Amino acid sequence: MAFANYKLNNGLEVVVDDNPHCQLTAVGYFVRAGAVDEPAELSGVSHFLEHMCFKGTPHRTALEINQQLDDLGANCNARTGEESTVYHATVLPEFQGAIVELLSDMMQPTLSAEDFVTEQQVILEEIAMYRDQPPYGGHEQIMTSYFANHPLGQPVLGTEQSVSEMTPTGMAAYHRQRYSPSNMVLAAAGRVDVPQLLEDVERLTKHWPEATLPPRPRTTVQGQSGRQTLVVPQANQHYVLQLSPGPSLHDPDRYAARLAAMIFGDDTGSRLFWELIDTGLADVAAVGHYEYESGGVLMSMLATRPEDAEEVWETFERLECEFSGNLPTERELQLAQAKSIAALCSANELSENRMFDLGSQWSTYGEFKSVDEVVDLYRRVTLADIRRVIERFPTTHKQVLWIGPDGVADRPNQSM
Amino acid sequence: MRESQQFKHVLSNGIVVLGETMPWLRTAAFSLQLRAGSAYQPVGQNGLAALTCEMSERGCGEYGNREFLEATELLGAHTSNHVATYHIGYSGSCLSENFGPLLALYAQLSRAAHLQANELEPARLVCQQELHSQEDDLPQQTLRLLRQQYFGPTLGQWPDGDLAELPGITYDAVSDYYHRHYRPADMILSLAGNFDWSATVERIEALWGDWRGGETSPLATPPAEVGYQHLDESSQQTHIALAAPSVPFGQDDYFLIRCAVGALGDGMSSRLFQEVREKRGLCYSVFAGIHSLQDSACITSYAGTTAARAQETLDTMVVEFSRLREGITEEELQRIKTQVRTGLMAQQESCRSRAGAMASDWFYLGRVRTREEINAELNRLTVPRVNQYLADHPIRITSLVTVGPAPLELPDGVCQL
Repeated sequence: MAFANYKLNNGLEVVVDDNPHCQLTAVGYFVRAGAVDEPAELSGVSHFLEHMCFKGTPHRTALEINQQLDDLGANCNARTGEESTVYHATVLPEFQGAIVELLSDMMQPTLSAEDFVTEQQVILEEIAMYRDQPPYGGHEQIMTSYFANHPLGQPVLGTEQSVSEMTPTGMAAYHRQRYSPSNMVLAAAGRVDVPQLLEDVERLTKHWPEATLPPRPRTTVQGQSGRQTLVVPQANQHYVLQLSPGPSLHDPDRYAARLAAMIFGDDTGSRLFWELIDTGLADVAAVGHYEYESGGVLMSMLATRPEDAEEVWETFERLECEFSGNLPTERELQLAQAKSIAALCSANELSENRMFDLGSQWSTYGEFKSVDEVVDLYRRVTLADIRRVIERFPTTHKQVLWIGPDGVADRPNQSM
Repeated sequence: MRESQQFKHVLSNGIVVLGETMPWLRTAAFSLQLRAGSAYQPVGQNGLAALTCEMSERGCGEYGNREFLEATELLGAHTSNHVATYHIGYSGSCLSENFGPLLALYAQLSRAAHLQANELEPARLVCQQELHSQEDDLPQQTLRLLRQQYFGPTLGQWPDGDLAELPGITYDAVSDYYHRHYRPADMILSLAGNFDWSATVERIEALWGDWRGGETSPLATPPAEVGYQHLDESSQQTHIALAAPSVPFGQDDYFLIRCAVGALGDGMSSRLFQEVREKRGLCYSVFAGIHSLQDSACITSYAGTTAARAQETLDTMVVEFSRLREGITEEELQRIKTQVRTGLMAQQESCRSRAGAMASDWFYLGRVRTREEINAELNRLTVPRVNQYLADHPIRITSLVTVGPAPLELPDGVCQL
């Protein structure tokens, strides 16, 4: 296994985790462009732009892009988040050159007016689709409420209004700035021909225009507490989403905080699991952690039948209160460590996961920790660390959103 | 690089153990299949298989409910269970050094589940919760209705159960189902990853070797209905699912039709994706695939779109189905071949998916295909063969389900025998 990093003349960074035991080659462009970078009138532009990169370049039509991706058997996709956009593909090693050429080409899309209008419709469909699937519609609402005026509160998909009003010109200006090579990382993992990769990337990206980019402001998150409801008439279940403070991507306590969240709310074997899932009271009761550069949140989610919603919520709140008094035991910590470490090692066997891990680490930290180093960080977490993070990230300061059919609006006043 | 090796061992009680060693990995995985799937449930008891599966994980051998889960978690095992048409399956993976102990836990689960009466109601609630949550997933609900309609009352039963039938299932029914269907004679255990084959077989002999029990009786499969079914929902989108008869996996012509369906609806350059989403922007999600059972199969296709554009979406889908009669192109065929080859190599990176694929091969084909064999099969596929097949066997859409605010008009030739 060999890790290496390179910086090209245009500022593009290339990072490689080459492993000859792997059967596939995974590559991905990590662009530091996400919802946090969008001015209000361009809300959703990062995600829309991600779609447009598949719609045509000076060298290829949309159909040619899709056809070539499929011709290469590429397991290719893209994702846009709050702080990054990632384009990635996994192929047979023989197609490394072709996929690097194609992905690089896609990073400089044409943004034609005609494609722009068609794709606008697809995105409006995507927004409608999520609204039909509770609790997804609630995700953006609670992020907006919790983060309030902080950029992390901007919806990744944008709104129907911002997407409808967006223009190709506005998008092009955004692209020129954010898709500057010095704002991007190319990660490759699995079986990689490194000299060939460097030669190809150098040639393919040397004409990319460079832009100077002000550093992303690191504003501190002041999470807003509050309680709201969202009525989804056709919903059959009640859902509760809750955001409370968590560690940021740069917080050294994040490993301990992840383990604490796992002890409390992993989808199996956690305190929530034994009280709510094993008993059949709730369909979902889990806590996840979302870490960003300027802050982090714990997101709890509950889903249950309307008649059980009250009891589920009360149990959840009781367990949450108890967590800071009835602290985790050595055994609970040991279980959480065993689960996390095995999951890491197992995930690391896939080229695609290695590429994601490498690219995200490098574009966030500018450094790379191997799986063994990360395993070690989990192993070293002690009960004292767990106690500290429970104190540091209290769940008393929280934003709660109830989602459900008519009648859900009455609930928070009864129990909260 | 150390090569993988394939193995097979049959225990005297009929358990088939399949193995593939992948020494470059740090983990190993198993897939354990018992002939207890939803198709074996008595009429009016849809949910019995799911409830039995849930009960089986609530204590076995020397472990109580909580102790069993904690034992798997201490091994760092990633485990899951799955009720399918023919099988209840359990799978798990962990670091190599914990693989033997993990198999020992699942030996107890398959042979000696406690099935404590006081666990029945919580287990039933868990199954009900799962079904309630699916009610909010309209795409899945649409595909469920299509499956029920196309495959009929036995094979088409939704493996997770039915909310109307779950409450009536008794403790005795669960206990009886477990003892009748958790048996060695048709159990498949496949193993993949970094493990020592002979030591593991020895362990498996010790864990399961003295278990006795006969084969499961064959299924009676009443015929299915065809036609158009609409379910009213006040959703923003209309969800469209349709089915056309296909050749099941394992029969000679399967790969020919698999290629045609690949061209139709698998991937971003597929005809459906291009025509429905890319050219017309009608929807976010549209695809087609083959749903294959042992003796029957269908091509299924799904699209979800805002209600006002649903008719145009359906009409476009139907046009693309009929256009297949004219055949596929060389580029389309090459693309599908590369996709299959990439999928095969991806299995070499993931022992979990490899173990699952081996068990599936054994059940449907009675053997595990090697990579060489699949590559040879791919090489035999040519455009003239595929197109001759499509010309001789025109694809007919026989089932259509829509879920949304209003029903749609049937395009010509759809759901007509």
